[in-house]
Amino acid sequence: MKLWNTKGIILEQKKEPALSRDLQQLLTEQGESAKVETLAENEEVTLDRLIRLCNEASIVDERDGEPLGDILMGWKLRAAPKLIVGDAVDDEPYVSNQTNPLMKQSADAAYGLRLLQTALKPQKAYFAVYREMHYLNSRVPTKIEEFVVRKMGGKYPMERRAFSRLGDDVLAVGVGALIHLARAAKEGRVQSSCFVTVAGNCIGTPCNMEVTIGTPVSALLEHCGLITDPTSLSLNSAMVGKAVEDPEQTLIQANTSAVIAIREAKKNLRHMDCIGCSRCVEVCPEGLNPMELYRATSTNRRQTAFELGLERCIGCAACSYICPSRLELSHLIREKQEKWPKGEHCHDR
Amino acid sequence: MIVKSKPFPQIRAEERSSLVMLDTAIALIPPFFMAVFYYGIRSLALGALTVLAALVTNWISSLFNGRGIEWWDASPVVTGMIIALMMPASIPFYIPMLAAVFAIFVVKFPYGGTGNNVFNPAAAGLAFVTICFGTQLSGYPTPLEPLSLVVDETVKLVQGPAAILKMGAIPTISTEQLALGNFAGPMGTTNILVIAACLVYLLVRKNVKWYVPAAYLGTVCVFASRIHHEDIGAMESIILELVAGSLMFVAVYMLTEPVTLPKRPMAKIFYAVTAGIVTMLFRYYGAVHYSAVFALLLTNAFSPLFDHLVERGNLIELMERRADHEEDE
Repeated sequence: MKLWNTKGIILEQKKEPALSRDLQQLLTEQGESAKVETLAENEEVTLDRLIRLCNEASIVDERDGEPLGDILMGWKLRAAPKLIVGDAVDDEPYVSNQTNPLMKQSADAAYGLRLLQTALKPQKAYFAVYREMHYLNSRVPTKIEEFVVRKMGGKYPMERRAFSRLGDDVLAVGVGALIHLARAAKEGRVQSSCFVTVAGNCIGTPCNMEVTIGTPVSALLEHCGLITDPTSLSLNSAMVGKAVEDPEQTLIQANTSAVIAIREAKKNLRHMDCIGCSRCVEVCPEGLNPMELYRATSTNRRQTAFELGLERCIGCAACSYICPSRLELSHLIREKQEKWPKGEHCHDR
Repeated sequence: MIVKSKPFPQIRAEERSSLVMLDTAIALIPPFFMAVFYYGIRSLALGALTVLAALVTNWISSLFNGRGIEWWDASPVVTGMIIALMMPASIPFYIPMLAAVFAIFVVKFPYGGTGNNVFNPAAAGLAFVTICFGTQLSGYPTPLEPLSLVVDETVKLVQGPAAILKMGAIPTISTEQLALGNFAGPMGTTNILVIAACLVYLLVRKNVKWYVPAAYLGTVCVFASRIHHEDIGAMESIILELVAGSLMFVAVYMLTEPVTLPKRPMAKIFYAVTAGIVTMLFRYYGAVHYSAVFALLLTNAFSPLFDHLVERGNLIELMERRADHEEDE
């Protein structure tokens, strides 16, 4: 039974209008000066050459911030991957910073994937996008040049689970990194920018932007315009992102995927305690019991919490999202997970 | 600009706990309409007074708790409505009110209020008054003869089909009348079609999982088709068992109550099946009416055990999966 892979939630995606709008640019000049050696017209593309190119152009996979050169280095010691995926799976609401560049800069993305294909010689290579994106203004193409665009479905959180299900012999590279790879190979450009979605119900013109790394978040908000003051502002994700307290001081990094500004509507409905509705148990992708974990962590029962599988929580916040009593389940569980080191719980009660 | 840091996620589902409770209360209104149709305005007064008793008790006990009055908590309303609907329409007003007070003050409040009770409060309240005022609960007025607010000796009380079944006889009510609920019984539980419609509402609102009432009623059907009076067929027996007592009402409103239900889907099914088996055992061998209510109370106690067993099963499976994975590497 694959119970763990089917659980989760289908979130309302709210990707429009950012996804269909043109990619906007907010670039400063200084990053443009550095150049690397481009690939010559009929130069043989080897893995070593690509690794050197990636390192020189300091290309970073935008999904986890790991240098692409390091990732490719790992594959040098192994057998060739069976499959290379250009990962444009945006399974979180509002975020479309991979799908949008794939649609708007498809030539570069395909070129980047082709380079990896010639160097690593996998059996297959394709792009992947998220299937559960409804109500789009524009259609995601089914094919980009010779590469198929596969739609991968699944409930949130699906990205990591979906790729681990494909097997071990799979190399997944973010589309942003592929585009930067293509630019480095064609024009010798060093990566100085990244793709960021600016969205949320406070943003005047939600869009995807190419931004110089190191730009403060406030510059992006200024560019897109705020309608009202947000009650919460975060980087990367509305579900598990990093809270931004001071947008002037917070800078965009290579792995920043989104800036999301949300204003919560104030409704005069009061919240109750847990009513035991078990919605959190139904959505937990790890098959945990978040409600019992919450009770154990909030009363500092360390051993009970570990027996319930505290260390297995991946912090996807699906439980907090679904909770009708709006308890801060995920927040507290993660906090205790960091606070209580693993293995020391046996003596403590 | 400084934005206050709040715990994640930034976005939340629309559903609220107070609305979940309110939904069940809304689904309990149609049976009241039917009760007014069959027994007159007295049933409405009965309902109002029971709900009032439940609410006031809840407010007082939440003051004891130090929580302050939680006026948005609709769960005592649900408890009060369920208790009233499970009573004969001719019952003296103080009996359901006493049941409601017992339900809230003895069964819910000592455990920590809404969300923490081990036993279904409404079921426990009903069990309490069954034990104390058993004889007054076993006679039902005839439907379609509206009652006045004050019930005297002139009102003829008859036995319901559940009691007739229990004595080993077969009730002589046509299937059509059974479906319409036009027979003597508790004022809200005889209208099978109305209850089924309310079940659809609760299913659509996702407050009830379909497999809980399905597993319960399925178990009852299996028993009814196997063990029945020799004069009737299996099908007739199933219909009679489903319709006669308060079984459908319990399946829709009380068995599916989120607080006492186990949390794992598999555990929910085990729980419902167990409740079904216990109900039928009570019907065959027990000495009380309200067999479904007593069965539910008994099964409530085992609810955490089902969760525990299913969780254990999951854990073993996970360990095996991990072991397999390590072997592969």
